[in-house]
Amino acid sequence: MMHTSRFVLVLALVAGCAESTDLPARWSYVHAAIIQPACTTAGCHSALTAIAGVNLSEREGAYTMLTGRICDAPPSSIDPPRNYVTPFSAETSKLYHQLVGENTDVMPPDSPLPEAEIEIVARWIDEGARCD
Amino acid sequence: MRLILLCVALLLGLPGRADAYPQFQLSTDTDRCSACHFSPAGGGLLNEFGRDEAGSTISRGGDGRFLHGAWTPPSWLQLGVDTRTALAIKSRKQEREVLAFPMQLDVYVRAGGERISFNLTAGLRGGARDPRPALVERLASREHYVMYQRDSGSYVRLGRFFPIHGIRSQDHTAYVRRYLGFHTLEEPYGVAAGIMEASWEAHLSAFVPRPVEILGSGIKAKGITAYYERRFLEDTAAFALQSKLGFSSTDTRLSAGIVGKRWMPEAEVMLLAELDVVRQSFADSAGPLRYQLAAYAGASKMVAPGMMVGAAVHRWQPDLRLRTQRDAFEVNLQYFPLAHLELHLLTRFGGEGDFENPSLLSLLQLHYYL
Repeated sequence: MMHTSRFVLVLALVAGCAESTDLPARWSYVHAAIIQPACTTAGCHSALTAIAGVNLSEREGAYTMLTGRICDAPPSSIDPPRNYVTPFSAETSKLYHQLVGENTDVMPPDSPLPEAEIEIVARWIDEGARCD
Repeated sequence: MRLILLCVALLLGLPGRADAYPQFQLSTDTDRCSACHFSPAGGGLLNEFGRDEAGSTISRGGDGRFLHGAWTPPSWLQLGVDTRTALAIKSRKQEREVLAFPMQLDVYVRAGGERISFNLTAGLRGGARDPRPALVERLASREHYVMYQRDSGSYVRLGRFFPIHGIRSQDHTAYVRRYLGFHTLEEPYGVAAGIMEASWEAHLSAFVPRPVEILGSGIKAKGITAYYERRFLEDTAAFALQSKLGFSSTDTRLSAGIVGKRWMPEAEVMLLAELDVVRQSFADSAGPLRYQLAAYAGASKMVAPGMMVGAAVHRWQPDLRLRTQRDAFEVNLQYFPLAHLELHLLTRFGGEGDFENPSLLSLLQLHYYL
């Protein structure tokens, strides 16, 4: 009973007391908390299906797929081959436009991301889209 | 016969999944999933009683047996086939998308005796936007396991299957399935044991990730699940507690949930509800601890022989601190004109909290099984 009360109290405390800006815009968080659960289902961007050739199931591979860069490699002045993400510019990144569904099909098509999660992805891009 | 041939012609070579119809538990004088299915979790191959019900209680008639009774396999072998194809219309803001796609082509094989059996579900995976790879690349086996079962229904099984957890709706996009690790082809490998008693059942499963990536999708985790269901009010109500603990390379998730089922005989309405809270912690301090919530509540009613209407609400909150959520409201119309055949029209509105710009999905499924 004591444990149940504590659990309810924790829930009450954590519910509705944070903004998306309080959450880390790091790739390790973006991938684990947003990209992987939302995008890697069987019919979409899993290794099994890889719609449009995009497999987002693994952290490093997904980073390379979206940015065209290798995790922990030094920045390059050459445009990446898969320009879903333009570092420091969410507004010009295809990934961002797909998440909000602007002038393109929204992603994920079955259940678009909540605004707060899109904001975290946008902030990750705007802060340089590092593989941290 | 011409109708059967037409259905087969339409559906052959089409792929996806089908699961149980939890609306029929309690409402058709059945107290558990395994009353109609060979699997203790429900879904997939129907047993003899389930096939009888398919041709009587549930549909407008017909012979529910394999091949409509044209051929009876030997007693050590049970066979079945499930096919679904779908037409979907999606709209959001000013955009509209029309999709026609194969959902499922699965063959079920159960071989063995009453005690020990080998169970296989194999077929072609479906997908609304699948770029149609070569046939061999579409082959998939969602379930394959060996099971030992006692007369009471208590069992032990080993292989690939979904652990018993939650309301096993046939709709894999229901939020309690979509976001809790029960989406299409997310079945892990594991060992499970269950006890079935007259008024309760309990199941415990230990699972590990698929050994080869392309066998499925979803987060590769290992862990355990537990499910306890107690029935009361002369088997017209059930209440279940459940928990799941999963470890992956990126996170640890501990979920706790409740499931409620209520058949209201006077109104002939079936109610189903589920609520789960997930505690997710990230590896390597990638992010702070977060709590998630997934919920489902639905009602269904047979309004005429073979005609079921239902409505349900879904909620998914990926992080309770953010006060952000996805909600959906849906209406289902399911018509079973005869055993083996179902037409299912799902209409779902989805939105983020206020439904200011709702998305709309209309999905018409043609489901035929042998």
